[in-house]
Amino acid sequence: MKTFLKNQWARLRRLEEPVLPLAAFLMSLILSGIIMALCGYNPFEAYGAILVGAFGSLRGIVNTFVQATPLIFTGLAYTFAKKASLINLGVEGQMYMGALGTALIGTLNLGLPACLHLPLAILAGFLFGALYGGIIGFLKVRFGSNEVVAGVMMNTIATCIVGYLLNGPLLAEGSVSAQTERVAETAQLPRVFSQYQLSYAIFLAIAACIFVAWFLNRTTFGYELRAVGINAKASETAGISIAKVMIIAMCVSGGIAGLAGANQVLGVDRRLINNFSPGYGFNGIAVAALASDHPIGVILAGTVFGLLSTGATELNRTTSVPVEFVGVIQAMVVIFVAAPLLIRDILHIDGKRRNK
Amino acid sequence: MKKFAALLLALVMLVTLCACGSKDNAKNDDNKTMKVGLILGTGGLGDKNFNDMAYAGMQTAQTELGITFDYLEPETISDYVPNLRTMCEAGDYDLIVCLGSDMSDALTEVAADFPNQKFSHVDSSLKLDNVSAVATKWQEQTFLTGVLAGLGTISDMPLANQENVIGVILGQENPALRKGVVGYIAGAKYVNPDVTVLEGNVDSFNDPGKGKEFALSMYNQGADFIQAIAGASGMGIYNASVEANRYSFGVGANINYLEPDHIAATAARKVNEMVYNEVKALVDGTWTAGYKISGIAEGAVGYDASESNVVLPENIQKALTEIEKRIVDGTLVPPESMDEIDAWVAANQYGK
Repeated sequence: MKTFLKNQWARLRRLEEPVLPLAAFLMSLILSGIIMALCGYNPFEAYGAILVGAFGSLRGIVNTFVQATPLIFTGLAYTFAKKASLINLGVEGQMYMGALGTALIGTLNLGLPACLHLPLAILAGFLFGALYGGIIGFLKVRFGSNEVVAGVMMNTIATCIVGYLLNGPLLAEGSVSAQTERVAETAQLPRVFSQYQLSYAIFLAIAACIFVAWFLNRTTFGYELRAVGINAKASETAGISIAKVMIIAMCVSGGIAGLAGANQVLGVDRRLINNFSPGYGFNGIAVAALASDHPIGVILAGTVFGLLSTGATELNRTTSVPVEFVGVIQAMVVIFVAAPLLIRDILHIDGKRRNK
Repeated sequence: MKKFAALLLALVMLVTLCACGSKDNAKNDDNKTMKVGLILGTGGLGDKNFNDMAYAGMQTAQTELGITFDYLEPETISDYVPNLRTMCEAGDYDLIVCLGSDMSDALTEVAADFPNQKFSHVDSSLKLDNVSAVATKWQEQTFLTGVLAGLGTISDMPLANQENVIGVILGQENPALRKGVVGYIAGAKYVNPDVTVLEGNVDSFNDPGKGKEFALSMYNQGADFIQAIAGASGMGIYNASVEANRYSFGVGANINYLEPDHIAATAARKVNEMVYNEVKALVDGTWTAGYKISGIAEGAVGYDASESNVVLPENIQKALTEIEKRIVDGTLVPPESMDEIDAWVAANQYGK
C-alpha cells in the first residue's frame, strides 16, 4: 500500500495525467467567461462571487464538501465501471436504490448500538445499489443488452419506485412533503460541525477512492477488470471470465453509487426525501471525466464541482448573473475533457510522447 | 507548454481581478433601506406561477417601498437548510421570505438557531415566535372552478363530451394541495353529485412532459375539464387540453392568456400580494409573527376567467356568482378533508 501511494504521487508529479483535465477546466472557465460577457454579464463578478461563496466563510468551505461528497461517490462509481469499459449511466438510479435501502434499515428502531446500526444501514445502501447495478451487468452478459440503454431505463424505474414508496407506504406520518421518518439516532452519520450538513462520510468517500485505486492496480481481480476493459476478447483467451468481471464491476459500481445515497440519507437530510438528488448521478459522469477516470483524481474533481455548486448559491444571492452559468461551466468541462485531441492541439502536447 | 503557462497566468489574473471585483460590488445601501431575502421553492423561477408571482411581489415592493432584495433558487429540498443558513448568517436581512409548505422542516430547524431573524413563510402552518405564517384556504381557491367543471361537463359547451367525468392533477401530495383537490371535488359535487373526479399526481412541479401524459390519459378516460395544481408541470396539462381539444383550469397566477380557447379559468391566488403585504408590514413596522389565513372573502383567492375566450352558458355564470356570494357571506363553508366530502355533499346541494 505504501509503495503504491508513492508511485501514484510520483505519477502525479510527473504531470502525466493532470495536465489535460486542468487545461480543460481552465479553458472552460475562460470560454464560459466569454459567453457571460457576450450575454452582458460581468464574468469577474461571477467568478468572484463563486469563490467568495465557496471559500469566503466556514459555511462555504463546509458546503463545498457537502456537495462534493455525493459527487465523489458517483464519480468513483462511474470510474469503476469505466475501467471494465462499461458505461454505467444508471448511477442515479443505483444511488436512489441505495438511499432506499439505507432508509429502510436506518428508520427502523432495532435497539442496536450506533456501532452496529450505522454500519448496517450503510451496508444496506451498498447492497441495494450493488444489486440494482448488478441487474444491468446481468442483462448485458446474459442477453447482450446495451448497458447504456438499460442504465437510463433503470434510473427512471428507481426514481418511480422510490417516489411511489415515499408517497405511500413509507410516508412519514403527518409529513408535509413526500419523505420518510427521520432515521434513528443510532444510524445517523455524525456531523463534523453540528450546525452544518457535512458528515464524516466525506472521509469514507476519500477512503473509497484510495481503496479503489489500490484495488484496481494491486489485486488480481483489479488486473482482470482492467484487462477486460482494454481488450475483452484477448482477456477471454487468456482465461478471464468476462461475464464474471462485468457483473462484479457493475455490482461494485452500483454499490459505490448506493453509498452516495446512504450519505444523503444518514448524513445530509437524516431522512429519505423524494427527488433528493439534483442529478448527482449524472454530474458524477462529468466528475469522472474531469478526473480522467482516475480514482484519486475523482477526489479533486468532485471537490471542484462541489465548489462550483456551492459558489452558485452566492452567485444567486449577491449578483444578477443567472445561476445557470454554473451549469454552463460544468458542461464546458465535459466538452473539453471529452475532446482531448482539441486540447492537445491547442497546447501542442504530443499525446504519445507524454503518455510514455 | 508556453500556452499552458499563459493560461495559468490568465487564471491568476482572473482570481486577482475577482477579488477586486467583489469589493466594488458591495452594495452601498444607506442605513434606512430595508433588505429582504427571498428563498424560492424547488419549482424555481419561470414557472409562471407560485415562484414567479412571489418574485413579482418582491419587485413591486422594491419599486414602491424602496427596499432591496436578494433571492435564492434551491434545487432540491436538501438545499433548503443550507440556503436558509446562508441568508441568516449573512446577517443583514431584515426579513427572509420563504415559499412553500415543504420548507417547514428546514425553517423550523433554522429559525430556532436564529431567534432574532424575522421570517415570513408562505403556505405555512408553522406557529413559531419569529415566523409570520401566511396561508390561504386552498379549498376555497379551487371550489369555484370545481363548480364550473361540475356544471360544464353536463352542459352543451362546445368542447365538453357526453361523459360525466372531470379531472384534477397534483404536482405533489401535500396537505395544502390536498385541500385544493377537496375544494375542487366538493365544488363539482355541490352542483353535480354524480360526477366522477379522476385524480393524478405528477410528483414534480417542473416536469411538463409528465404533466401532459397524465392529462392526455385523463382526457382519454372521458374527462373534459382538468384542474392543474402542479406548478410548472401544469404547462404540459394546458398543452394537452389543446391537443385533446378539451378544457383545463390554471392555478395560482392567471394563465388564461396562454391558451385562451382551452383554459376556461384560473383558480387564482395572489401570492404576489401575500409577499408584498409581508414586506409592507415590515416597512410599516406592523410585521408580527403568528399564523394568518385568508380566503375568498379576503380577496386572497378566487375564480378568475379574465383573458379566456371560453364562453360560459348563462346558467353557469349565474351559479358561479351566486355560490361565490354564499362563500363570502359565510353561508357556504367548503369542506377541508377527503373524509368530509360525502357527508358535506349530502348536506349541501346547489338549488335544493
